[in-house]
Amino acid sequence: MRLLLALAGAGCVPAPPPGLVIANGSDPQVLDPHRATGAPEARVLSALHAGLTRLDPRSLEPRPDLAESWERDPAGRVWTFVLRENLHWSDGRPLSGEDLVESWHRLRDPATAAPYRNWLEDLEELRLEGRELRVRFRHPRPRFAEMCAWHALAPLPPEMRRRGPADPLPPRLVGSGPFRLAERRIRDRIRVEPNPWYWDAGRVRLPAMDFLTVESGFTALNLFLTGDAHFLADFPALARPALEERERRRAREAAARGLPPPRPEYAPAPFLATAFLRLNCSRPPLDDPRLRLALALSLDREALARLAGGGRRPAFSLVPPWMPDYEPARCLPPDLETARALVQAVAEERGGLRPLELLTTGGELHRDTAEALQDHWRRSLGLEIRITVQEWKVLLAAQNALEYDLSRSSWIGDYLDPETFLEVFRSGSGNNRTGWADMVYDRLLDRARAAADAAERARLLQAAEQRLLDQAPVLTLWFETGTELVSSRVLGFERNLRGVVDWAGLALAPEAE
Amino acid sequence: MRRRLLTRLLAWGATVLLVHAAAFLLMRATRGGPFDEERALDPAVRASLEEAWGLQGSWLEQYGRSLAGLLRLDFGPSLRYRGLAVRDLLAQALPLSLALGGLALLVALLLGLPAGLAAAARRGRLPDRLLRLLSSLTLALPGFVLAGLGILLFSFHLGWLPPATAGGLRHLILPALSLGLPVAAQVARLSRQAAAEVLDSESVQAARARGVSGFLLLRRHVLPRASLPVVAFLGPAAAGLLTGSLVIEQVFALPGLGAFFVQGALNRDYPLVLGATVVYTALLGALSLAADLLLARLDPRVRSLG
Repeated sequence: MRLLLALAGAGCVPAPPPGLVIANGSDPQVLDPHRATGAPEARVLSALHAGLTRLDPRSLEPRPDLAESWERDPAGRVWTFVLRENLHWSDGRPLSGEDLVESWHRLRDPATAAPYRNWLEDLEELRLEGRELRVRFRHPRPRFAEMCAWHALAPLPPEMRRRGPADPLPPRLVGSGPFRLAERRIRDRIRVEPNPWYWDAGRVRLPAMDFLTVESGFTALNLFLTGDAHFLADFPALARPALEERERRRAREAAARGLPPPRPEYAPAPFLATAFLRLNCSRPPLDDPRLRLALALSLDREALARLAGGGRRPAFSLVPPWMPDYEPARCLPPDLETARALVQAVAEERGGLRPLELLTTGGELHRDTAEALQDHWRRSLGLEIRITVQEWKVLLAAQNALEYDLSRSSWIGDYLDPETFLEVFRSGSGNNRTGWADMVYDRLLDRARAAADAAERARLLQAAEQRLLDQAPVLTLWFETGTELVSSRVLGFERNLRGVVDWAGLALAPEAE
Repeated sequence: MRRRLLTRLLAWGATVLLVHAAAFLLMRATRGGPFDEERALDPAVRASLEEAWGLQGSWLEQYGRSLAGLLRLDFGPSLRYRGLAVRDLLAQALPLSLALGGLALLVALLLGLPAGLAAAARRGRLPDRLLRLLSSLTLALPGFVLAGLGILLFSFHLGWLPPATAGGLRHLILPALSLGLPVAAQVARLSRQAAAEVLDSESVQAARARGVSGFLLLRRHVLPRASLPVVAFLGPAAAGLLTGSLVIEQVFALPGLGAFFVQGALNRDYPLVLGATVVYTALLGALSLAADLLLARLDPRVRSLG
């Protein structure tokens, strides 16, 4: 018994702090900002590491962080950042401009194995003069100040810069952000505390934050509903009706007591991500653009978005409609007659059509969507669809090997620019995975990349998107929604397109009696 | 006896090696790799990663490296938990899994054994029938359903216990109950059956005739013989508790071994899956060996077979 208690004690942590508790999904894969990609990683790293800029959580405009100011040439090819004086790492060592330059060199080095390496691929010059950092690219990078807020471009201390991909972590993880690491328990929690060396330490209001590892969505929801967690990144779709009802009840209760309506804890908001199907253009019969177009023309996106629910909106373009200074292209309106004629023409030419294989993953939403599409295409076009449910990594491998006909997909934008969606389908891009290689599309992207004038660039990108929609290597379905559950006790939280959280600006109100 | 022990130990080692080889083959034969993500890696980056984890070369070479690691008890760096060694990950998770399994076993014995004996003493009457009903019900419900009911009652309605996360003994009560109750039901059935037989036996009738009764009768005559089937059952039961904790750990977000196993496989974290498999296999072997040894001590018939 004593042994048992001792063992239980080994899994014990101090009582929860009077701080914010975040049910953060899966355990972060890696706490190295250069090597991390996922959303749970991004939430933790954005608390621990500061970039030259940070994003305003309301407007997503870049604001000064480690850099006090910056300038750019009109095209956005040359950028000059002025670093703050007296910057420090979270252990008190001074942070210099050299640290930043060396960090970016490490990001670009293939040996680092950094997923965001391509962000600095066409860097032509990186020069430090005093506190001035001059950055020159081969092509314009109009969104570079915004990109600098992302953890991949944050400076790293020397001991982190020397690590290979499989090397052990340094015993103490040091950063430059508003918080610093207090404790990490694998698969349990990451506790962070305010970083007294952060240049803007006075802005930090929370005494501590716990990022809990909670893989099951239901478990996370339980923690939220009992008040043991204040921030949930996601929850099971099954719980949506109950949560909507809960919001209505909270509003009624407040009204009955004559109080102003409470801030909603569940409020689906637009999110910079598009759900779509990849079509395999490298093998018959979907190598025939007429058949792809027929599928595109027959889609009822309104109905699909309704089926998906949760505030999702139909996607008539690949690029979500919330990009500043960009009007997305638009796919052709539904036209069942033309679609049927196209299918018939292709079928006659080929002497019939074989059943098409639709790859999807488990989970209610994906299964329901696949079944709805199967039913719809059988009835409207007479096409037979076979659904294959695969585990996520197996599905990715099948996509990479182009061993599918249709496959469920989605893409999350990295920054507020159409190219973060359109570059995916350039010929030969590792993310393309449709076998679609189109010279016209590539040339339009090249020209947009080189364009110095913003309006001209937007026009070229729109033309490229139109080409993509007309050639239909992908069928866009809906735009995703952000589904954070945030306790009404959390003050200063702003919902935005990218799920960016300004941790330093948050506070936790005392528990209501 | 000593020779038998030696044979068992050798068989145990061979099992671990075989399971390791099978796990290696199965993991590699599964489609999809550790570096397949929605955002594709550029080829240079991918090559650096494969080199860093020793995933280049033929399967045979890789198996050789993995086997050599196993013999040094070093499974290498995890692919999923970057920057951490599998050995450290397992060392961090094992105490919690053992504590959870141990508490569940305690629940099973402390609830099951007395209930079984009480039912045997009042065969056919209300306590007996009640036990039979309760044990059928508990056995029919999977652990995660019990967990859900427990959370509903103790976390939501009463607010006594946390619904999830690790943090000391209080956080282990619900998981240990969810895990231990079905085993308690089995223990109760086994001990009831055995105790009933003992109570009907001539020796107990004779003892009763001599005036031995109550606690002494229980301790001297009933318990030693009624507990034999329970002890024989304990080895597999302990093994079941350890492996059965996968789901319960997931439900309660506990950082034990179980989730490493499931998530490791989904993430194609080859070193972690191999490490967890080997630790599980070794534990299961050790537990069943320990139960056999205990049984041999308690039951002369088993000893004489050795």
